[in-house]
This record gives sequence, C-alpha cells and structure tokens, in this order.
Amino acid sequence: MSAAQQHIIVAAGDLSGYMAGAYLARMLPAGFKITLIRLGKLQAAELYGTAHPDIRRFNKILQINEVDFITSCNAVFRLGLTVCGFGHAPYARTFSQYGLPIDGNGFYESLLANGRSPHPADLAAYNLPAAMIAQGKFAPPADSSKPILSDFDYGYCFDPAGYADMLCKRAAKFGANVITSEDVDIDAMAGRVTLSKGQTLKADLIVDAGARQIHPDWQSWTETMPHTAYAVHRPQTDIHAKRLAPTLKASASALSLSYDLQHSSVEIKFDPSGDNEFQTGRCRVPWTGNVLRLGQSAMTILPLEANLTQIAQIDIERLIELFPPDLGAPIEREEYNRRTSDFYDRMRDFVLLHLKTAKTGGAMWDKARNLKLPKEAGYKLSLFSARGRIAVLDEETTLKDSWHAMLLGHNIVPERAGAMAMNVTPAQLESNLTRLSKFISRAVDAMPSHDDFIARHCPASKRTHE
Amino acid sequence: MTYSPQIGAENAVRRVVIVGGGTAGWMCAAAIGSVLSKLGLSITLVESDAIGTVGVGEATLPHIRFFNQKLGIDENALMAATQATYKLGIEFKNWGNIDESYIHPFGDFGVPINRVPFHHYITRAIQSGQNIDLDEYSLPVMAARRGKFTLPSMDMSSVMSTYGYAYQFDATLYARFLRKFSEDKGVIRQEGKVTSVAQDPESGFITSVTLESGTQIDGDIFVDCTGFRGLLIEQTLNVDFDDWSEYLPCNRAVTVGSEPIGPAGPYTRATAKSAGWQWRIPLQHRIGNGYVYASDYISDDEAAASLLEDVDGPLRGEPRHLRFKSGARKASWNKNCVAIGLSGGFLEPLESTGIYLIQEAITNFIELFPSRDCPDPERDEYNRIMDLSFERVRDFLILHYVATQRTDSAFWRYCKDMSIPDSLQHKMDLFKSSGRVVSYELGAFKFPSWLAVYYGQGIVPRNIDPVSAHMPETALPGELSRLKNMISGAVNKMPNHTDYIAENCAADPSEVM
Repeated sequence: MSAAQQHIIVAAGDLSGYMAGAYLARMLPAGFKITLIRLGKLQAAELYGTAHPDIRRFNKILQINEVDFITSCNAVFRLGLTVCGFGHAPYARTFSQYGLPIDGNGFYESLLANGRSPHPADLAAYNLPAAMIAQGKFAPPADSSKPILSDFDYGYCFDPAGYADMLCKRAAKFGANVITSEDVDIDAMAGRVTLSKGQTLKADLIVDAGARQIHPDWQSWTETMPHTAYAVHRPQTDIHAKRLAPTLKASASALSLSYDLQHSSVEIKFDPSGDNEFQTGRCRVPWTGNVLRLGQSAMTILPLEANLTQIAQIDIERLIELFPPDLGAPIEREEYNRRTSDFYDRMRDFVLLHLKTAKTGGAMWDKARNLKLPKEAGYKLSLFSARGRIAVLDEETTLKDSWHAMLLGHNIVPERAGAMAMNVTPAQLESNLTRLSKFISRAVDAMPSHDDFIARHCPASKRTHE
Repeated sequence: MTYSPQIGAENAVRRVVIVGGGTAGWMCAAAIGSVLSKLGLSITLVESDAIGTVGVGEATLPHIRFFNQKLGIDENALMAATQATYKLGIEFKNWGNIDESYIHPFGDFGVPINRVPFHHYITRAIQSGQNIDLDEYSLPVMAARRGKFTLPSMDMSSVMSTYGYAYQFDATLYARFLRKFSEDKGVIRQEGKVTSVAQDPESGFITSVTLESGTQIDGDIFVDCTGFRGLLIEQTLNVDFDDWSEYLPCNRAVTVGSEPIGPAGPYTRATAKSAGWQWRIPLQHRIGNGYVYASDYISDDEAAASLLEDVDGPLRGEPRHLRFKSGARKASWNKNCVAIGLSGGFLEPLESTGIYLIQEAITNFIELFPSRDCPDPERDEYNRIMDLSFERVRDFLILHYVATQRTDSAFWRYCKDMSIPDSLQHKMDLFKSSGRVVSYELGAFKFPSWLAVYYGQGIVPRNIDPVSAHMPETALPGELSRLKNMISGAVNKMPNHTDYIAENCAADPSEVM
C-alpha cells in the first residue's frame, strides 16, 4: 500500500451514505481519511425505514448497541412483510421457511403432491414468525440448539433520521470528518467535491449516495416499473398492537408500503401526484472512474421486499470486501461492477415478477401484467410455473423461501410437482403438519405481545420524530 | 381453488432405459431405483460384458458421501466392498515448478479475522519476509502429510470440523456394488449389445433400442451411459460436442495397477511430467497409477515407458491405453435422452471430477424428473446447470496448467502461454492484484480450492486486503502460530490412516483380486 494518505468523500444524500461513512471509517485502517458530508435533509428517508435482519450484523460491527438503536430510532421488531392485494388472500414473507422437509422432500412439493394448497395464506400455522405476526407476539430467536425456535430472524422498522444521527456519531468516533453542506457539486474528472459554501475538497474516491447528480449512464426502468412519484403520510399517534411486519398493499388505484414505529406510523403511497419524485432505474456502471454510486444514485427500485437498507448494506460490504489496493485503475472496480450489476438485475427481476404476477384488478395492473420480462426473470417464472423450482442465479440474495412465498402467494401454481415428493403419503403429511402446527401454536402462546416486549426491554421516549 | 399438479397417468414416465453399465450407468440405476422407488418405474439397464468399461474416477470428491447417504448406503460396508481408503486431498508435485509440492485439501485455510479471510494475513507474513509454509495452516493438509485420518467433528467450533473427506476406491467394484444394490431395488439388467435405435418419426424421441439377440426394449426415457461413443446422444440424436482440447490438451492415458509399498496415504498424488501428469491413488489392496498425456508431445510407447519408470511397486497386470477428449456435450439432455457420464462430457481426471459430474447430472435429473413429453423448462434448467458445472470445473483445471513457471518441455511451454477463457483470466487477474477469489453459486470448487492452487503454484497476491492492516504487525506472528499449533496438536491426536481403516472398513482379504 502506498504511504500517502488516501481520501474518501461520502456525499450522503440518503441513508446509504451515512451507512457507508460509518462502515468505511470503521473498516479501513489508518492511511485512509474519510469525510462524510451530510447533505441537508435526508433523501428518500421513509423508503429506508424497514430493515432486513442483516442490519444487526452491520450494527454489531459498528459497535451499536441494540437497545440504543431501538430507542434512538423509535424502532419496532420486524419479522417479515405482509403482502396484500397481489393474490387472492394476504400472506406473509418471513425470514424463515414455511414448513419442514418431509422425509427429505421439499415442503411445498409434498403439499402439491398431495393436492393441498401451497398458498402461504393457508400456511401461517407452519411458519413460526408468520404465526407471531398474525398474533402480534414477539420473542427473539432461541439459541441454535432449539430447532424451529432458533430458525427465524428479525430486523426492524425504524426511523432513518434517528439512525443517520447515530451513524454520524459512529463515523466520527472511528475517525471520519463529518461535515454538513446543503448541496455538493461533484467534478468526477478532477476528483473534486465543491460544497455549497464554495469550499473544495479533493478525493481519491467519491461515494455519491443520493447526492442527486445527473448520471449520463442511467438505465431507466420506468417503462416496466411505471411509478414516478410517491407521497408519505406520518400520523403522529401512539400505536398500540404495533405490527411485526410492514404491509405492502396493491389496490386498483395504488401501491403502498406502510409500517409502524413505536410512537407513529408511516405510509408510503406510490402515486403520480405524490410530491417525491421517483424515477426507477439503475446506473449501468455503478462505479466509474473515481465516483462510486450508492443508494438512490445507483438504483431506484420499488421497495417491494422492503429491503433498501439491505441493498445499501450489501453494496457497502462488497466495496470493503473488494477494496482496491490502488484506486487508480483497479480490477477490483471491474469485479465490483460485475457483481453489483448482476445483483441489481436480480432485485429488478424480483420486483418485475410482482408486477407480472399480481392478480390485482384495475387498468394500472393490467398494464403492469403486460410488461415484457427480461430474459432471466422470464426464465425464472417459466421454470417455477412448470416445476415449482427457483432457478439459482449468481448474486441472488432474495431468499428462496421469499421467492416461493411470492409466486405461490400470487397464485402461480406449478403445473408439475417434483417426482420425489410422490413418496410422501397423505398420512405422513398430515401427521407432520399436525405436529408442526401444535408445536408452533404452543410456542407462540408462550410469547409476550410485541407491545409488552418493547415496553419491557426497549421503550423509546415519546418525542417527535420529524 | 384446486391443486392437482400431478402428472396424469397417460403422461407419466413408466419405463426408464439406461444404456451402458459402468460407473455412470449403475450410479443412475441405483439412484433412480431408490429415490424414485414409489413411482413404480420399470428400470432396465442394458450392458454388454463384451464392451469394457473405462472405470476412471478412482478418486472422488466429498460430494459422493451425500449421494451414498441419500441412497441409504452404509459407508463402512461400501468402503470395505470397494477396497477404499479415505482421501483428504490431492498432492500436486512439480506443477508450479519442478521440485515443488502442495496439497489441495478438502478444507479451509484458517478462519477470517475482522471479516478478512485468513489468507490475507498469510500474504502479509510472506510480504514481510517470514518463511511461511501454507501447509501448516490447513488441518487436512497436515493430516495427509502425516498419514493420519479420523472423521471430522460435528462441533463447528472445533478445528477438527474444518475439513471434509472423500474416498479413493476401485470404481469397477463400486459399479459392482451398485449393481447388486440396484438389482435388489428391482432394476433389470439386460445383457447384450445394442444394434439399432428406433425414433418416433415426428418428434424424434427415442422409442426403443434393439439388441443383437433381437430383443427390443421400449422406453419413455433413455439414459445414455455408453461412454465416449455416445450411442444415443451423438450417433442417434447428433448432438454436438464442445471441444476444449485447446485449453486442456491431454487426450490420452495409460494406466496400470501396482502392489502397495508401505501404508496407504489418505491422499491422491498428481505429479506433473514432461507431457502431462501421472496419478497415484492408493487403495487398500493396490495402487492405481496412470499417465495422462497429450499425444502431440509424446508417443504412446514413450508414455507407457515413462509411466512404468515412475511406478514404485511391482506391477499388477499390463498397462492399458485410453483415449479421450476434454469437452462437454452442447446440451446433454436432448429430446427424451439424457447423456450421463463420458457421453455427456469429459474433463481429464486431474481433480477427480469424473464421478462428481455424474452425480451432479443424476441429482439434477432426478430433481427435474420429467413427464413423458420432456417439457422445455425441465430440460433447459438441467442443461443450464450442467453447462455451468462443466465450465467452472474446466476453468479450475486450466488454472493448474497455466499457472506454471515450467519451460522444460514443449508441452509446458504451450500451457504456460496458451490463451485462456476470459472468465478464468478475470479470476486470475483479480487474485493477483489483491487476493480476492471470484465467487459463484453453482460449481464444485469454491474459495479454499482456488486458494490452494493459486498459492501452491506460485500466484501470491501483490497486495493484501487493506482491512487486514488493523492487526498490528507485531500481533501477526502470534496469531499465525496459534493456528499452526492448534492444527499440529489436533493432528497429533489423530489415528494413523491405515489403523483407522483396519478398525472400521477393512476389505475382506479373501476378496482381494
């Protein structure tokens, strides 16, 4: 490594920048100088308010205590996502699997082979977190010696503004210089960032995280993902029986994502009349020269898995995993772009297949259903429709179980079940299902309510979050 | 809403015909016969005693254990019946350079520190001038070098859980073992040579094969296990073969068995020679030897002479010559015929992938087991997975040839300078720059395997992972020796490989052939 200090500037417009600033400051050793620029008001904040369980690993690395996080971010626990209006009934996608393999055979295949419904709405009794969501009960996963009870995971619904503040403090603690600027001008050629007051900083790497610069290589998805704006409502009320999962809801006229925090709730409605601009698409080459795009600058996508925080985290961890010894002309940059492009396309496939398979009525959805799928998405759908099998592609991070729940939840029933599952007899299936549902219902009965758990372990003070 | 995704009786496969015995044929018969037993299939395997089998693949990969487990085969019984020994890895001699040796183990090199893979700390130590032997940081390598073996621990926190193992066995005996297993499950063996193949005039689907005796065998699905000649996939269905000889120029082998000298080691050896390489695979009752070579660079007679020169015990039988071509079938499932084994593709046996690729094919075929009309989605997915499996093994094999400093023969000069697939060039460039290994979902060889060959053949990254610099220079030697001592302490407690075999899975001496 060269002895000269390398300077990295993170222009943080959205939460991904704050995450990057803290993480880079934590992971990169002396020899790297990190400047985190807070760019005025947090962009697209509410889109980031739902976190995948991965965030717990991220916080651990940043030495952020869980109770501090929850109380500072007005957070509640999150066990998955409730999806309404896409299929004939609402269903849950959780960070856990539905059912258990039966004698080595897949759960869904075994149901199908016996002519039983594989729709996740009919299977909540066989998925511990789905049952917890349904009854509003929460307890953290047990230690790994206890099957089923240990076999789920949780993330949070939280206030990104509170998290951004925490991340700034962590970044500063790990040696970053945290400054504020209403705006920035990025001169990629010169490797220079100009702040709103005219001050100019030179950098070896500039991370553009929602800094709202215009990118010539933006690949628009608005043709297939036609949502151009959204509106946010934040009723400032005390919520009782806080939901353990955000709700994704499709109706004839709109698509919305809503979730509860400890003292308020949030509803994001994708609607052309909304006051937040939302142009879906992605950068063809996320890292060009000395500018790396992150967050909304790299990809703007409908948050149908409610995982924008996770996407940012995966990108940031990938950057560190591949951090180049020489920022000048790195092959590591090529590898970052190769993997990130594949990753974004897999995320896009997941969203497009929601639109393609939605059973929602209305002209807007008729149009969505007629979209022409990209090759990989089409392949995935045709293989699943035929066999109920999810094609494994590189850089896929969506859990297989989420794919299954999504497609089955939207009433895509495979035409042919796996031949092996023919081995499972109705009696075998019945006794397996009964045993599992009894176990799960007993376990859930013994858990405290989500509200009680929070009140006891991590209540946030009631203050106004913007 | 009703859910009746069952394949209707009129469209269900009832008769599976496997053409060709050998390892591939009997592995298919055993797996389909047991895993799909409830489908009530009639399974016929046609083979002729007059046609020899190649019986390559005496050394295996750890995946084979899962195959056998799925079939419910007792490991010790199988090992005893096939004269098997345990395998912890492959020793590569003279590859990067003459007089160098390394072991590609079935296991890890250390655990990540501060989320940075362990090998970056090794690179750091090498760069700071310490004399580092990578061997000492892998438990299976040290155990192999010292002739030790025991089963890995299930306790994931123990260093004894950081490895896997495979077998070195007699593939002909394995086929024989599976034949009995299959016949017990109701598979019918039909002796005879296929003389003609009938196809449906409209769809081109194969409808039957006819034997010399005149017996006609009808089927819904045909599995082509006829080896290189590809009786069904090539001679009947004319599916092309992708030739990869430019990357993997070895195209012949000469093999011979020899008497064991000294205790059998728990590893296979692959020694690079002037026009290829020679294997040495210790079984319980004999050593398997073979010289794999490129016919452009050495004659068959010279190769045979060179083989014998490097065999260290009295010979058992006469040397046998084999011819092959590295490459893969363009679509090994075509119409209602799936080509498994050498007919589906062949990669030279350098990393013992023969049986692994057969197993991959069978597992995927069973998971995608079709209706009689063999719909496109199942076939496309099968072919996609098999293409990837072959290609990724291919790249890994090429690495062994191209990552060399040898210039002592025309063969090695060709290999050193040959053009390689872009997919491999990118992987190597990335590793050379900063020690990052390209990851993928499907494929036999993952992170530790690539590391072993890179370091073993002299590719040391120019730079370390910057994050590894968090560990102070002074802490590095202590951290490295901690792991080294933990490994050598654990290996000390392991039994000798031959003692372990004697106690658990010794072959019946009366059955020694």
